[in-house]
Amino acid sequence: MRAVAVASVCLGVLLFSGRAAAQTERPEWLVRLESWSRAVDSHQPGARDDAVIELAAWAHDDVQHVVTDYQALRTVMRRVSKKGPRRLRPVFGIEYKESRITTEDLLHLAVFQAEAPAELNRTLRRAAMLHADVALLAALDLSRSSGPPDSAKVLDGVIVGYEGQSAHWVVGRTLLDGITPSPAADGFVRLWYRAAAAAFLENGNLAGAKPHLEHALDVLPKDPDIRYEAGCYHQASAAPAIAAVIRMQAKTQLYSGLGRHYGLDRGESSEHHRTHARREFERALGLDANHTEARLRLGWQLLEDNRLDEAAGHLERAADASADPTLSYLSLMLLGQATERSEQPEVADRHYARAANLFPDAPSPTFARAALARAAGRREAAWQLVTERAQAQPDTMGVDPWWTFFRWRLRPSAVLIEELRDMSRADVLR
Amino acid sequence: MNARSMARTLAMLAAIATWTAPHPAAQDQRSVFSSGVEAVRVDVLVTQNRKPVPGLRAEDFQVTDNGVPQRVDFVSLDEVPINVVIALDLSSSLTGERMAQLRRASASLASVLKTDDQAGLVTFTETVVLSSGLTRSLDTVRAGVARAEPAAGTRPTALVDAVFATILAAESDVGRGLVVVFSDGVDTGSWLRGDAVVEIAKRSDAVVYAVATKHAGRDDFLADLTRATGGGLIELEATDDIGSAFLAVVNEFRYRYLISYTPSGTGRDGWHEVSVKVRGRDVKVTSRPGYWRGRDGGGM
Repeated sequence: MRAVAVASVCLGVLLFSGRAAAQTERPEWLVRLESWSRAVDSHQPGARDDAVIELAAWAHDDVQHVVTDYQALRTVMRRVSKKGPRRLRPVFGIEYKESRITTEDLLHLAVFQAEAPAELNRTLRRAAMLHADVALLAALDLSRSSGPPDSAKVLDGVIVGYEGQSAHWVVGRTLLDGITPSPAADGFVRLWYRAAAAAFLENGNLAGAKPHLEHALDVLPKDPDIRYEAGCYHQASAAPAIAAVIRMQAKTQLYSGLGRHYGLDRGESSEHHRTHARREFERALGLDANHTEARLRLGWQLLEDNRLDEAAGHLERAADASADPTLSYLSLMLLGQATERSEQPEVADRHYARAANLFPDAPSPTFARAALARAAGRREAAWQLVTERAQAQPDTMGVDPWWTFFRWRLRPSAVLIEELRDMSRADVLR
Repeated sequence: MNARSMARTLAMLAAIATWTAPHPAAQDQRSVFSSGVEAVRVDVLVTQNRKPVPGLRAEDFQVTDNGVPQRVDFVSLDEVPINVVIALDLSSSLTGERMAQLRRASASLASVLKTDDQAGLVTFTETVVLSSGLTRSLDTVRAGVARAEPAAGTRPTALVDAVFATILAAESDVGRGLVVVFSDGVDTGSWLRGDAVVEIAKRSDAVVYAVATKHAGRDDFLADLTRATGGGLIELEATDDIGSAFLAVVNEFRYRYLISYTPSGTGRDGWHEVSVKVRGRDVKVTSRPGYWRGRDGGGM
């Protein structure tokens, strides 16, 4: 706790304490930085507390500027620690003088930074946790802190509006870039990126996922989970329903002449996304051969690319390796499709039947088996299968994992985010 | 149609029905009436200036099967009962006034269907529900449409699975299958692939029409499906009456000819391309582009 208190002092109290009388004279950036510092210090991970509520109300530019100011301050501090406070004046100039920060204050802060880099790392992690919590817990209140509406909002395959992306994920990434000696070596950073990516993709926010994963891959190029999430992003982007939206956007732009970029790239074709999805899953498996989810999704991607034998190989391994019923179900269904398309209908039917045993109320195995029967000319058998399934009342019908295939993950974002918060709490106590 | 002509029609239907596994009713009938002849039947719409052309006879049609001219044995117009099955997308496509229009149209179904016709109803979001199998009791279908409510919230749409179930329903009894799909046409939840169901539709004798609101993002499934079955894709403006469109489809179907021929010199199993023209008339002919013959076929 002492470290946190000191960090807080660094960013807020030490810089500005004892100057209440001069508060009205302080420049806007300094007041903002002070508020931010207090919020970082007071926030309880996972709580929709005052810190979250306050930052959620900030305008998009304020959220971005506070982190820019903070980074500038840190740069200044590094110079102070190396060359002494007198060299500060050309850097801080008028703002420095107006803020009435004393040379002694800056020197104090510089010494602190030089002596306790871990404390600053901790502050950066806490700040990144706060911004993640603002984005996650105050999602409905973020209109002010969102960027210009440049991403299509899609309901049931139809564009129903446009929205901007929250600035909080952007500043979270910027903050974590400052972790020393390397963000890639920090467990919190890895989990932060992974949990956020999972949240983006589970929510179908592909426009938000794209810059997040691009940055994540720069920071963590050898993390199999990040590679996996990047593959999921491309796989979802190539999915037929999303491809339909991209077509819609292209036509809208054509007709409106606005030429706006709607978050889902016009220039990136389904083919582009399919290729990248396959590559990312292969890389994930190269880094961790036991990544069964990556194997399942690679199998699906190969199936989409009509590489049936390779697909079947991966899907068979995924089905055998998994103890999770959803993962096994999806593997078996896709294995069924791979063998069906390889003209092995009897084998396919067996895979579908095994999948049906795992989720007896899911309709997809029934439709798969009925289509096999109908394609073989067995109309009556097909009809019987479908009537048994489709005559049930909707509210008694089971959930089918296939419906959430593009969003499902073995460890959902909620679990990952809770782990992240636990890690953040432990970080504070350390 | 009186009882005798109905029996005659059913007998003819059964005798000409299908290359491969016929539907159960037809199979039963064939055991009684089989002539030992494998015939092909094709649903054909003939229009001039968008209006159906009545009064055509067998000799007016020019049919080729895999490029080989065929002799038309039988032509029927409005004699064979129809099995119309409606597929309603309840994910978000049909709300408010659109649903009210459809309810009014379903109440008018009796005015366009005849005594021996049957109707059925499939509704779908991510789940596919057989609200009513084929029945002559139109009240059952009407009640099903009246009960149908658009689903709350964001739900996936299993359009392809639903179309598959609807085709099976339409061919589940002897008669001419007519499938009318109401959907925005974007699938987000089906297991079955669109191309696989189009292939199955080619093996079916059902004709599929789709009524959809115009929007730019639809994939090719509904267009491919309706083309493959000789039906049509009707795209509505937001203000168009969907109920009227539905009744127009059923009415148009009444004016389709059912022609049959016994293939000769056309080769064996596999895909058979069929071309239908009307001799000496400047008319538009709409029919399915071909049929499957052999182990995997399902008849036409």
